[in-house]
Amino acid sequence: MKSSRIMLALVAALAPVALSAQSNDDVHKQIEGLKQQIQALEEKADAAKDMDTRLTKVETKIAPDNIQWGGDLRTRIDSAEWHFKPYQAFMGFAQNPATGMPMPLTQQAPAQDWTNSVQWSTRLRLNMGITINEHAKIMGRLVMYKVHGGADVPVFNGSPNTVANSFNTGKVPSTDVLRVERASLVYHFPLGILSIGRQNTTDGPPFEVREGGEREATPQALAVNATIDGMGWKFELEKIGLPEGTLLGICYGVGYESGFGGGGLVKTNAAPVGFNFTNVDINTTTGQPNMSKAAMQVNSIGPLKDTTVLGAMYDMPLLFQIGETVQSANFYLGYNRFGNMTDIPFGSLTNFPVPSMPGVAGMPSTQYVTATNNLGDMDQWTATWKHRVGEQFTYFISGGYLKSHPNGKVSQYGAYWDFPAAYGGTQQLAGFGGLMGDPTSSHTATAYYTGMRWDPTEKIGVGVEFNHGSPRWFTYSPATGEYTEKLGARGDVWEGYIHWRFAKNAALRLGYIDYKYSHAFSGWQISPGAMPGQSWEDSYDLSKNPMLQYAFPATVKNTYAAIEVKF
Amino acid sequence: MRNTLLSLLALAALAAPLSAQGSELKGKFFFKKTCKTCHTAGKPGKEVTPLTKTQAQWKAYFAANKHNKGKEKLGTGTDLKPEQMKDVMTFLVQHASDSPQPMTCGG
Repeated sequence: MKSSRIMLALVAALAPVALSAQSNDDVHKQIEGLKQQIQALEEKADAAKDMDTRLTKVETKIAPDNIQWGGDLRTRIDSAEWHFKPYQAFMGFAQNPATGMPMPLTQQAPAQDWTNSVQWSTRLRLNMGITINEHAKIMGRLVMYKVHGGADVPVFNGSPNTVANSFNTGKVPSTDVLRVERASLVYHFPLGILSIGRQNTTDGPPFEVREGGEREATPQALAVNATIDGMGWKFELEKIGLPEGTLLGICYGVGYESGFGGGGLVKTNAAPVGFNFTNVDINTTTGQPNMSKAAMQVNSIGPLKDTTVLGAMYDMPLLFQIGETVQSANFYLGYNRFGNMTDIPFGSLTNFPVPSMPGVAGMPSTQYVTATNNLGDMDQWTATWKHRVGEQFTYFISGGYLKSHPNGKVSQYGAYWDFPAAYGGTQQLAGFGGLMGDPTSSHTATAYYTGMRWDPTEKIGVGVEFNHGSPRWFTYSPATGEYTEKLGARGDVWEGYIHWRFAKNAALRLGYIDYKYSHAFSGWQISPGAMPGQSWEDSYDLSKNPMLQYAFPATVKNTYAAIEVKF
Repeated sequence: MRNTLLSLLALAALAAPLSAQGSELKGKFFFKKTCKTCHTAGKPGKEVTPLTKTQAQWKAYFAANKHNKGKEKLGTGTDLKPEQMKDVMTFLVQHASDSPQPMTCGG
């Protein structure tokens, strides 16, 4: 009994020690295990840090070294209705049976309605950015814009956007060729920014409001929306205390190069410019003119001077806070001097200058047109104010003023007659005319463009825009409405749209554009002169039965829907 | 007119707001007001613009929440609120060197 108690006592005395020894072992083992785990974790952390450093180096190296691509793809469907008011269609000249002198041939054209209910188009734009070094980069944009199944070369219908040339690349539907819309070197010097090459001169402010994106070009859209080759220099005025991003710039561009490629070389050349109607007499049996006797008129052209654009711009962005709302505003001023303007720069089209007419010419064919005369200079001033109030509301207003300085010359495209030498010989009786419809006197024109956009949510934008142009208004924007003139309209244009960004970088756009043209020749810097006894404004008022070689619509109603994807 | 308004409201209802994205416009404002005081050429911090990093790099930078070579958290010494920091990140990401935003014109 006593031994058992002693044994029990010994066990009781030794048990804690035994248990303690066992716990200590376990704890020690656990601690060692944890140490190993911690060491493994630290090694993994070091490896991850090393991987991050390596990846950062790779990303940083890759980002500027390669060409950075971006862009957008748009597929659009348009449905348009055109209404033409009655006009006198100019057909040419014929011999007056009584006098033998030229008499104009006209045919009363009734009011007409044209409908193009379905027109699909696809536009692909590829933006390129190449960083050369910390100061220099190359910026470019390639564009393909074509109508589904459409003809590659537009048929000339009197509208300037049916002449395909390098100025409307990417703005007017053409072929499936990928064209270079922009390609310029941009270099940041301490004193300012130099850009040289094919400039960012399309889709300028305030078009970014409608697009729901960032400003895309230097000149205001009401001034220039065409592809211009040239150079520009901008002083960064934040260095003298003005708001960050304020720029004062000058630019120089070439609108028509007469010395290379174009038909008007620096020396005299020749080109078809229309028809000579001297031999067109009246058929005594039918009483109709014998148009088959009209002959192609080939004239001497040149030497011509290059068309130049010399411009100045002032941009001032403002960013400020009122209460809890952050607002931004932009103020733009622009001046352009278009020097030595010509009639039609080098381009391609169908049926001009030799139209396909029964008995006169044969098949419609692709023809190349070129400038035939320098017509004078033009001064253009534009100003734009754009204000974004918080996240949801943006409005803008843009105004333009234009003044011509003609040099007395007219376009050589037209209708000709051979008079006796004593009466002046071969003379142009009718033609495309001079600068702003008057080759001898200066004229002015004005326009304004305003709009607003409301973004009730991050995904929906609703906007409305209006622009008005005076009867002689001209702006260098070949086809801002993309197949009719919007900002170049002589009249009123309304546009409403809904922009639904239904997914990241993808949007659906629904829109409606209503054009009301008051006068003919929207989009042209030239036009024929006034009719005898009439003012120019009355002569080409579309509501007053004007005499026109080509029909100009009085109204166009265009509904469109587009899927736009950015990448 | 009434039908048009109803249609617009229906469209707005369909457009569910994006989740957790800051304001680019506010971000630009706060970035210029706060970050640019130091991160401008000639100032203590080296010049920083959205083009300094790629989109992934900006996101990683804000996720790490470290500034001044890891010595402090982002926003230290400023009065930027968390939602304003998100706005700044949104602005920087959307204008990063590899962002789909169109290039600025002429620099």
